[in-house]
Amino acid sequence: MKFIILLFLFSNTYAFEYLSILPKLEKGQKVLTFSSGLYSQEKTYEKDSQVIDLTNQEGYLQKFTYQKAHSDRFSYEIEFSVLVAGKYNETYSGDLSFIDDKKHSSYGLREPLFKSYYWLESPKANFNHILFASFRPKLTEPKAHEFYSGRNEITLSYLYIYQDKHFEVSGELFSTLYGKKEIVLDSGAEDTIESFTEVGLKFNPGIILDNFSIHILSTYSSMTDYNTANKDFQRSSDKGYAVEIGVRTNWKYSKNKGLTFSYLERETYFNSIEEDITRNIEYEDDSEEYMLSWWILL
Amino acid sequence: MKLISLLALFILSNQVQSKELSWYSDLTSPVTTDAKYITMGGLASTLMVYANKSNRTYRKRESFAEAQPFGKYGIIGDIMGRGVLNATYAIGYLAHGYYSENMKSVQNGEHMAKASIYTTSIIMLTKMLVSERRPGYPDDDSSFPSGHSAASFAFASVVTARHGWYWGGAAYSIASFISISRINDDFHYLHDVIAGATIGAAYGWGTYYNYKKGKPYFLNPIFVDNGGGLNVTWSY
Repeated sequence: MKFIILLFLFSNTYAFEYLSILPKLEKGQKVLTFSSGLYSQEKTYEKDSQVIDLTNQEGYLQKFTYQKAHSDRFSYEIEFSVLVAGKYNETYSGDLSFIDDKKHSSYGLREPLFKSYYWLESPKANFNHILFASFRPKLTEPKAHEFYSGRNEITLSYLYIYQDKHFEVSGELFSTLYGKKEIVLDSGAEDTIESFTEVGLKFNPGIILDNFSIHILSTYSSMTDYNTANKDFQRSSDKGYAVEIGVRTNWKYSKNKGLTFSYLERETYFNSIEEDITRNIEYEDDSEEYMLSWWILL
Repeated sequence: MKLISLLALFILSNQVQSKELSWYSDLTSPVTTDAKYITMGGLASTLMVYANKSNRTYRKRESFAEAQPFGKYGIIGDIMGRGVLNATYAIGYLAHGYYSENMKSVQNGEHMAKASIYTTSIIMLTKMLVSERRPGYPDDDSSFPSGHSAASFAFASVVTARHGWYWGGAAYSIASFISISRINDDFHYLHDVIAGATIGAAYGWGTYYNYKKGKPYFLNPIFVDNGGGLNVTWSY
């Protein structure tokens, strides 16, 4: 297992707040986070329990985030992700058995993700709410095995957090608009995934002790049309839903440094509008992520 | 005659409670009170969803089982979301308030009734104007917006405003279940449900903010044998 480890030594202020899942930074404070872990994603299309096509991508995921509080109310964050030593496979059978299976190594840098947080005036003690916006730009039309997102992504969210002495509940109402994505295939042809929107709710209860916190991560979301097309086949779906479940533990081992471990699993199901209803269709996109992070408060 | 007078006084009192409050201020409360933030956020989300909504998805059939998160249990949401919760709450609290002369209960019931009536009115008008066909039942053109979502979120918002977030959290969970069940059962698109939930939540909170803002007093008739009386309550 390969890890990229960097250690920085800084002295700074008390960082108890950072055990929260939504830490509020004071003006001028910065946070650096280095993460390393495992990532895998699998898309399957089954007809009557037979796998028609299966796409799998997995590898070692490295992330770097930098967050800074511009004021007591507003902070911004930038996130970079890179996949190293990964694998990408495409497998076809049944109706699509005429397509050759593919195997590639998978690697690459994902487009940066820009985030902004605006802390609204708190209406009551122990309760905070935040307006959140993020944007990931489309920089290139990637090849199928590359790690690029290949699309514009915009998210608008309302976050809330309620904290008691040792108990915390946070959540998010989000809308994410995923732009059109065009993937360049080995043959030179293009695979097109049309734009779609996802709307959902996150709910994250947690317990915060003096130097340790643990949160349960859960999400439910619904999606609009998800349509894909290439020269060999096309799929049309008019709706989908996703469920995420995970856990996040946070250990503050010094005044301004800590370790976080998180696990997140996501399962997405899409409907199909062109298949015969008498068939048993399963159209899924599943992903899994294990991450170990070191964070430093500056 | 006395009964008519008392009822007329009751209705009039609700129209002239505070210098600004009237049926019109309640009708416009989603945009004139702090509920406008719910309205703006919900509309933005609805637009983001509708921007990616293809126009041709009339199937006249069910979704595949894998695409239904609640499977065959979506019918529970269908039944619960027909205003059952709203009516039970409103009638229950109005009856309790009337028989035990508890003004707070009367106000709770009145609030639920108002939020539900205004929500339903806007929903019915919008359905008639837009006439969008349902995804799984395209012979029916009352898809936008979702009445079930609107009613359930109006219920949840009133419960939260009146009883706090412990009860409200449960109520919003039920409202979310009802709303998602409409997509599960192919009666609505995602943008229908979001728009409906927005309208219901906006009226639930908008009418609450109107209660907080004014209505320093209200009048209620008291019916007794061979007569009646008037109860005046001043809120301070």
